[in-house]
Amino acid sequence: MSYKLVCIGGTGQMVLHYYAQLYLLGLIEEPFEATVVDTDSVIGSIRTLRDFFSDLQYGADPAEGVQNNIPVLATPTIPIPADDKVGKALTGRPIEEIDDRHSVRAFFNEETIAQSVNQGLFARPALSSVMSEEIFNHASLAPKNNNTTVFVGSVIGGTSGGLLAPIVDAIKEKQMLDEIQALKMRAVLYGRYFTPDNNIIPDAIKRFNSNQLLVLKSIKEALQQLHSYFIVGGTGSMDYARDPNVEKTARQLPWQEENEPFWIGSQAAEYLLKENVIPAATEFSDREVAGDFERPVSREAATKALRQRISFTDSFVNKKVVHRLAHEPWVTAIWGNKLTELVASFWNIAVAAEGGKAVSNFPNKVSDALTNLWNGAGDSLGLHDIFPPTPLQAILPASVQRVAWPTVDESKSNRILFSSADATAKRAAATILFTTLRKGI
Amino acid sequence: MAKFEEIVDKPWTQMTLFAESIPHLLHWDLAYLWILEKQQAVRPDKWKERVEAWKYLLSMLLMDHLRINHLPIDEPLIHYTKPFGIDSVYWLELEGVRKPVGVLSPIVLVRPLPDYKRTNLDTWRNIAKDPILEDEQALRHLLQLTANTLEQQESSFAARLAHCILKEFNPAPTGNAPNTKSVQFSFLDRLAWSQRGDEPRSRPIPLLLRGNGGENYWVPRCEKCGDLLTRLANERPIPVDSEIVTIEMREMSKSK
Repeated sequence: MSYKLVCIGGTGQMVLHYYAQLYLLGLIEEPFEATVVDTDSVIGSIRTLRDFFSDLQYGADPAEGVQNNIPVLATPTIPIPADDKVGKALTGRPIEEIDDRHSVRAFFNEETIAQSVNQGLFARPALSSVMSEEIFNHASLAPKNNNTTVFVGSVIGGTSGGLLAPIVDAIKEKQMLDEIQALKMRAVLYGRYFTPDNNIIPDAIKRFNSNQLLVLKSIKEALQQLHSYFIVGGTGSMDYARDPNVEKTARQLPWQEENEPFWIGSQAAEYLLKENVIPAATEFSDREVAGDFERPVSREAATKALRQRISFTDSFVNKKVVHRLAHEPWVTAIWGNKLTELVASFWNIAVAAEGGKAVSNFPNKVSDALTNLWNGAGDSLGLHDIFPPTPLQAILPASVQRVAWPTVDESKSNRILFSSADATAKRAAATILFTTLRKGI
Repeated sequence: MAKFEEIVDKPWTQMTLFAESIPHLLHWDLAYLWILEKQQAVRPDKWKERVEAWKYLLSMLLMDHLRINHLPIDEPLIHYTKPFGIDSVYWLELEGVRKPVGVLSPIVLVRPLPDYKRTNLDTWRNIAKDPILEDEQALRHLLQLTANTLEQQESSFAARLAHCILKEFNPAPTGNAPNTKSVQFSFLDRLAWSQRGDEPRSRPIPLLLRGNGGENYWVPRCEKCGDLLTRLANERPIPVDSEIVTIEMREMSKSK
C-alpha cells in the first residue's frame, strides 16, 4: 500500500507543511508522495522539503532512499495566461473588443471577463477549473495501484475550490483508462475557517460562502468515487487569523494548538490515509468523517519528539560530528560502526564519481553540506527553519552510536545522481539529517 | 447533523449565490438546475427573477417563438471549452431584440445569458407576450410532452429537468394538441471535466416544439379495418399520460 497527498492551494500547502514535520520527526511511519498544486507560488518551507526529499534519493526510483523508501514531493506549476484580463486570455481580444455575440458571453459574465487573471483565479472556482486544465494530467497526479490518495484543500477560495473536483475527476478517468486497481480516494476539505480580507477580493465573505456551498455541492454531484471526507471549519465560529506574508515563507512557524485548523487537517489527512475500516457509504453525506476521529499523533508526543530530535540534529550538525569523526583515532569507539560505515560508503561513491581520485576532504564536504541543509544558505530556508523555535536539550556524544543508522548498499546507488564528490556529499548529508530527525535519540 | 448537510441543505433564501462559484464551464447551467431543484420557498431571493426568465425562455422555445442561431466556437476559446465536450454555442434570439436573449443549455435546455439584467424579462414580455398568457393550453401540452420525453432519458440531467418542469409549470395533458415538429436538443450525460476517450459527453434528445401545421403528418389507422383514426374538432380530448395512447374509434367508423 502506498500513500499520497494532493495538496491544493495555500491551505493544502499549509497542511503539508505540518504533516511533513510529523513525518520527519518519525511520528508518521510510512513514507508518502505529495503533489502541491497552486496558481500561487510554492511556499518556502515546501520548496525546502521538496529539495531535501529529492536529495535523499539513492536508487533508480525517486522514492528509493538508502535503505528505505522516502517521500517524494512534486510541485508542478499551473501555467497562468500572461494576459492581464480573463477576457483577453479566453478570446485573444482586448475586452473592449469582445462584442455581444462572442461565444465567451454564453459562459462568463462581464464582471468575470473583466477580472484580472490572478484575482479571477483567487475568487472564482469556475475560472480556475476552466483555465488550469493542463495541470489535470500532470504525471505526478497519475494514479497507482494499491494506493490511498487524500486530497487536501479549501472549498472557499478560487484555486482549490476550482481545482479539487477537476483533479479528482481526472485521476478517476485515468484510473479507468489504465485499469488501476485498489485506489482509494478521500479528502480533507476546508470550509470557512478564517475571515477573508474584503480589500483584496470585493465581497469576499459573500463569495467565500457561495463558494463553500456550491463547491461542496459540485463535489457531491460529480465525485461519487470519494470514499470519505472530513470537513474542517465550515460551520460554527472557527476564525483563524491567517497572515499570507508569514505563510509565504513559513519560516519557523509555531505549531498550532490541537483545535486549530492546520493541526486538525494534518491529523485528518493521516487518519484518512491509513484508515481502512470505514465501509463505503452510498449516500454522500454518510461519507463524512465526524470530528471526534481518533487523532493519529498525540500533540504531547509530538512536542516531546520535536524537542528531542531538533536538539539531537542541531548538536550533530553544529558540533560538526562528521568532521570530527574523520579526525578521530578511536572513531568507532566513540561514534560507533554504523555511522562510520555510512560515511565511508558515501566516500567510496564519491571517489568513484571523481574517476578514482582520492577525495581526502570528503568528510569536510559532508560536514559543510550538513550545515547548509540544516541552517540554510542565502534566501533558502534550512531544514531547521521548517520547524518551530524549540528550546534545546543537552545531547550526549554516546547517543550518536545508538541511532539506527542505515546501511548503504553501494551496488544499488544510482550513478547519475552521484556525479561528483560535492553531489555525493550533499546526498550523504541529506541521508544523515533524515536519520537524525527521524531516529535521533 | 453532519457539516456537509448543514452547509448544503440549509435554506438558500438569504444567500448570495454566484454561479462562478461552481467549478465548471457550465456553471450557469448547473446553477439554474440546482436553484430549480430547490423548493421555491428556500431559493435565494436574488434568483427568483432569473427563474422567471428561464420559464419565459423555455415557454418561448417550445412555442417556437425563438430563433436558434448556431455559432462554432473559435480559437482560443475552443481550447478551454473542448475538454468539456463543447465546441459551439446556440444563441436564442427574439425578434425585435438586438442581443441574444439566451442560449441552449445541455443541462436546463435553455437559460438566460450570464449578463441577464433585472429589466430584461419585462422588455422581452413587451416585445413578445408570455406564451402562458397567449396560448396556455398549447404550452401546457408541449411542457407535458417535454417532461414525458426527458423523464425517460438515460441522461440524469434530462430526467432531473423533467421534474423541474413538472414542478414549475404543473402542466397537464390537454385535448387541444398544437401542431408540432420534432427538434433535437443535446443533453449532458454526466458532470465531468475531461473527455473520456471518444465517448460522447452528451446525447441528442428529440423534443416536440409547436409546428406551423404546414408539414406532412402521419395519421394512425385502425389495425383491424384500416380506417383513419381522425377526430372531430368538438370531440372529447384524448388523455395522454404515458407513451401508450389508446384511441377509441369514432361511432361512424365503427358502424362501417
